[in-house]
Amino acid sequence: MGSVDRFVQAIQQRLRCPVERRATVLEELRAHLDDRTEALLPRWTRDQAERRAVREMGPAWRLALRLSMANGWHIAPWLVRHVWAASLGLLVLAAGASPFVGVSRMDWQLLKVDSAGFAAFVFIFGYGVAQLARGWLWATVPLILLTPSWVIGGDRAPADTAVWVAAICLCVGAMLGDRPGATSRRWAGWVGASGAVIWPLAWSVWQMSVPWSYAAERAARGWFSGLLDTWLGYTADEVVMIGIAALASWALARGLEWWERRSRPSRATA
Amino acid sequence: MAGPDKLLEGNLATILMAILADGASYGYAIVAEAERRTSGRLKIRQSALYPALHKLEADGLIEGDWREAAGRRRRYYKLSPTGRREYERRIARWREFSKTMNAALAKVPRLAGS
Repeated sequence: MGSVDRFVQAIQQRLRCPVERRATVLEELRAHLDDRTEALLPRWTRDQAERRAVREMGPAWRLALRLSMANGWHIAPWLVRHVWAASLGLLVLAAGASPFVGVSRMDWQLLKVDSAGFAAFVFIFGYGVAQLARGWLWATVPLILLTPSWVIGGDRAPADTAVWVAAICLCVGAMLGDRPGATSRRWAGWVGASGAVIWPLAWSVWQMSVPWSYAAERAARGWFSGLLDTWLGYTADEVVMIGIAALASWALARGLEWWERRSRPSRATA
Repeated sequence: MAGPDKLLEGNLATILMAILADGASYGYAIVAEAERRTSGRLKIRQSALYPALHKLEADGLIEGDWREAAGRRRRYYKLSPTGRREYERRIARWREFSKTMNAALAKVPRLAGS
């Protein structure tokens, strides 16, 4: 696959516009690159000419974004659609999983503002991590939903603040990583995800070094159990719930991806 | 402060309309024509070209259609009737602006060393 093919493919993957415009945009772009390559051929080999033609177009993510916006893609409806889908997915998930984890134990904690820590973990490991490979706006869902919990919630577990910071890490990582066309998006996503783990851990360690803290009391029983208690602070059924959330949201993400791929027309030919 | 490139970029739509006012053309040829008209001073960034053309098309100022020439399909654009009226308005506004600027700058003394 040559440079032009790769570039057109990169645009195709990131282009968001009405289905009927996609083929036109891609075919026109390819025709332009072919023209430019032809023009460069007397001075360069085909491979070099293709690479130069592609370089002149600038980064694929920027062109894809501009083309998307020029072709009727608007961020606001897209954001609303995805936030709603995420919220709906979560509700369905909570309803479906509650018989297995015990309704009384869970007690729809997700919907209460004072369960910020639990909600954070569900969202972070559910939607956040699952969406690292997809649109970065999905990753803002934990932040959007978590912030009111964190601000309003009075009965916060000790790790809530750290978890909130972790959510920000994850969101920023995912945002940086999932710019359309970013080749490093997975790496950046993983940096964000690592932040989500490292922050609460660092917070727990710091807490245990403060003599008067909740964590230090726990740590008196043993460093390791104190660490786990502060860091995780959840019962087994809650951990199971988090796992189910992660799996289900991953499946949801893949399902949407499959649906979007299916609704696209086949690749344009030049 | 915007440099010449930024000024040109801000007027890219008008430049494209000016080229299309002389007849239908396609993306690559438009870039070449802009360079030819300005003796190479204006290099339209290719990443800006198609978004600008598509925006003009979405606004109904230009119309695009596929044509085949020398075994290659290309999307040709031409000014729509609305686009032609808009182009004439823009040209008139630009000439007025240019006249005003020239008059204003004529009074500016040359800076030392320039």
